[in-house]
Amino acid sequence: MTFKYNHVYLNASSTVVGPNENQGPLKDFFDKKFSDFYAGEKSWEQAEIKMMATSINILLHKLKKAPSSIDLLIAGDLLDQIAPSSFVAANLKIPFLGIYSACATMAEAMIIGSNMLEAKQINNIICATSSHNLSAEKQFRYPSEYGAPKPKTATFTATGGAAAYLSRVKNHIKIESATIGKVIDLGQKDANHTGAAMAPAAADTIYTHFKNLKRNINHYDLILTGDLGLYGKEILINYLKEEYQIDIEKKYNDCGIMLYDLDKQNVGAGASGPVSSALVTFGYIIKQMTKKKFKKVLLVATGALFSPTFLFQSKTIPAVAHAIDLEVVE
Amino acid sequence: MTYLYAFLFAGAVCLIGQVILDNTKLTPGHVTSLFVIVGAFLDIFNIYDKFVLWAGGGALVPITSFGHLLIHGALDKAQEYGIMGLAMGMFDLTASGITAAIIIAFFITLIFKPKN
Amino acid sequence: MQQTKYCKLVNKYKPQEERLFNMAKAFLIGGVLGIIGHSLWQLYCVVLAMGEKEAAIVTTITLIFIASLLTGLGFFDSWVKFARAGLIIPITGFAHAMTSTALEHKQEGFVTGIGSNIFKLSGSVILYGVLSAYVFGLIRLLIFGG
Repeated sequence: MTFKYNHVYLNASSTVVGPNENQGPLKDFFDKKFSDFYAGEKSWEQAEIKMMATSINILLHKLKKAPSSIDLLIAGDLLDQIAPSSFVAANLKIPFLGIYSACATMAEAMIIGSNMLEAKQINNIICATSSHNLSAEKQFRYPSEYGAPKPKTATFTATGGAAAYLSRVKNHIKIESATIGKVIDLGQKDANHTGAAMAPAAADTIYTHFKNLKRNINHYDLILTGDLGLYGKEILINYLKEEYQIDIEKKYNDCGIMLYDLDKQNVGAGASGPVSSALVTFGYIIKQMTKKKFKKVLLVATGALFSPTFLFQSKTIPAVAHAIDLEVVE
Repeated sequence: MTYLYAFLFAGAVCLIGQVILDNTKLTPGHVTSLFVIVGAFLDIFNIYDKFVLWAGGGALVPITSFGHLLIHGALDKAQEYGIMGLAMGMFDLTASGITAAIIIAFFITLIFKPKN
Repeated sequence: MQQTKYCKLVNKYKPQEERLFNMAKAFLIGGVLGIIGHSLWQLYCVVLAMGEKEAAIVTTITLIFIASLLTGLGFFDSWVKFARAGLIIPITGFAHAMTSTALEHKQEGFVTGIGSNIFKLSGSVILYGVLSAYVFGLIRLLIFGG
């Protein structure tokens, strides 16, 4: 399911981060940094609301717009009932669509928005997401104060919020095309190796995107996955070669590896969480595109659709990957 | 000498636990539950009692001792009351440990805030 | 790709865990805790002139208190991450599991937060401990008569 767009542009974006991201290699690229996990709130869940809300407020400030001039808000996060997104939407009073595709949330939001913009159903849209390391660990794994030992393949949920404004108003970066991924399940059951669960979904989406547009790797300057991590990255490169005879190795990087300094920071195989791909894309990549260092970037945001309940029932971890093609307007 | 045996015994039990954690998909919860069961099991034949004599405090430290104390509490009361006694005496020897863990955990929770 | 073939691919790019190092850490740290346990026991028996059984109880309580306190202070989790089984298997693991879970859910209230979650990780130990002590106790009663 691939779409091509003629009138969809990325006009502005914002990024807000927590303490770990503020110590990573991209620390100078973010709009606002919170120095602790509480962000002045009573709980981590409430801190996550604050981070997403702050990113949207910074975005509105950059655009010099009020919430009332925004046609639609699409947002999602990792927590139960996507509650943080709902609270943020309640404050903004913008018509709201809540979505869930774990770490592929931002791409999903942008695809839905782009389709509605191209069809002239709306004039503008804000896509937003957030994640928080401690609230995610509390919900999906162990209490953070427990210190459960983790294998080297485990990734580290990023903390922060990100928002992007898309519209039909021409700008130097456009959304050129997008592919909605299929949910792929190759029987992976290790919640501490989500990279392995997600790589086949990323591969399927990349293959489908290339096939539907009759393109190959030469069209792009950079292929970015959201959070496959150090080992998921290797798996994807080799899986694409073996299964689809596609070689992306020379033009490929993973946001999860770029967000942190894997040697100095204790973050396992890299960053994960809905905000991982968003922070790297909107914090760093877009700025590089503005300088024309990359002209055509395919962001393949990957989401591990795992549920602890089903995992305990010995079910597997299905995954999905959504692709968004960002290009510099010549 | 008992100090050496305390070191060796507690170390060995933890080592076995680590081997299980590293080579299976079992979680810490699974391993500790398994060890409690083993502790109780070994005292069907008074084996854990011998470990306590031999390694002293070192045998009381691992969670296996919890199983050992549970079965002993149960059996001690069963001397007097038969099968009913098993239930009556179950928590006799571990009462103080469990009570302490609950009360201390509660007050620590009241005072402190979770951090990273 | 077939699932089995994919599993092989995943395993090909899986990093080696430092098994020997983990085993060494667990053995040494567990052993040190054994020495601490025995030292406390002797301390309470000899210096504070308690009976053996009492001293054993107070030893357990001391270890529980230290583990809970260090959990509250916020650094026991990094010790557990490092020591792994060396701190999880001893009674410290039990106290730490209860305190960390209760702390985590503090914001959700006394009953619905702390009360509902304090036994989340340690409940399994209590359940299977009691169950096995009862069954094995029964077996012992029937075979040896007590």
